Amino acid sequence: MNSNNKKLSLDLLGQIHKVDAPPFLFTRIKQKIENTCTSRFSLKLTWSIGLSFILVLALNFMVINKRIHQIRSDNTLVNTFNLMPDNSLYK
Amino acid sequence: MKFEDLYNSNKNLVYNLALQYVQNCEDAEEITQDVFVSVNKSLNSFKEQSKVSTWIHRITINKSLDFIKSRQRKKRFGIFYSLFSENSIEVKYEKPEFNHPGVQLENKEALQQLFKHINRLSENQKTALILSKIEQKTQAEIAEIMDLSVKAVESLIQRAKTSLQKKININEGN
Repeated sequence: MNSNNKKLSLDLLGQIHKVDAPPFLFTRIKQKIENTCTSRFSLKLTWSIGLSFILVLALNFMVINKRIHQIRSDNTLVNTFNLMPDNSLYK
Repeated sequence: MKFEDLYNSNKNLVYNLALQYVQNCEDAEEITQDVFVSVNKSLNSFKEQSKVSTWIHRITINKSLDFIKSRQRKKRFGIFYSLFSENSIEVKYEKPEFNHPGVQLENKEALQQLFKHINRLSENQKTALILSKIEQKTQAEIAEIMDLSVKAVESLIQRAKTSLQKKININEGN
């Protein structure tokens, strides 16, 4: 147990050596920078924006459609029962 | 300031610091790439109010912590990732192995255990401990990098040490 405790002392952290970064990294970074310059939006982001836009349009269409139907049914009701469409009694 | 010069003078700093956070070569390479892409993007807006090395330290720390968070998210939603990922039915997430090139073979097992405990510390405690014990920074330097007071850093390191010792003791059944 004691030897285990000794093994897990914080001093071990001081024995970690510094290493050199891989030599090919700079080429990869340059490539990545060029890619981010050419495509500012990722495919995922483009798709999610497109889909949300379609969803918002569909919802709007549904709401407008529903409202038109409601107005039509209100007009039918008014005509059937010969109701006055406004509150002015002296027309 | 030329990007290539900046890269050459700071590549080892970034790579090594990222390694201390993720303890895996491939992940550290990915973080290093992200850091320098970020550096390149904001090079013109860098106002030299802080030292370049402090600025790069901060970016590296943030990118490393973001990387760990995104890995944890992937782990949590691994099953969903596998459902929506291409050509795969198996779970995509795999636990990264301990692959730290700066660790000598005789210390590997012990340090793997130690890092397992360090990885459970809070982000600030982990950062303070890494900068102090591995990167050998002074408390004043750590305070500048973490944008905290020296007293706060001192207390963070102390709490990290206590918490780590507790975790080690619990693990070893003391």
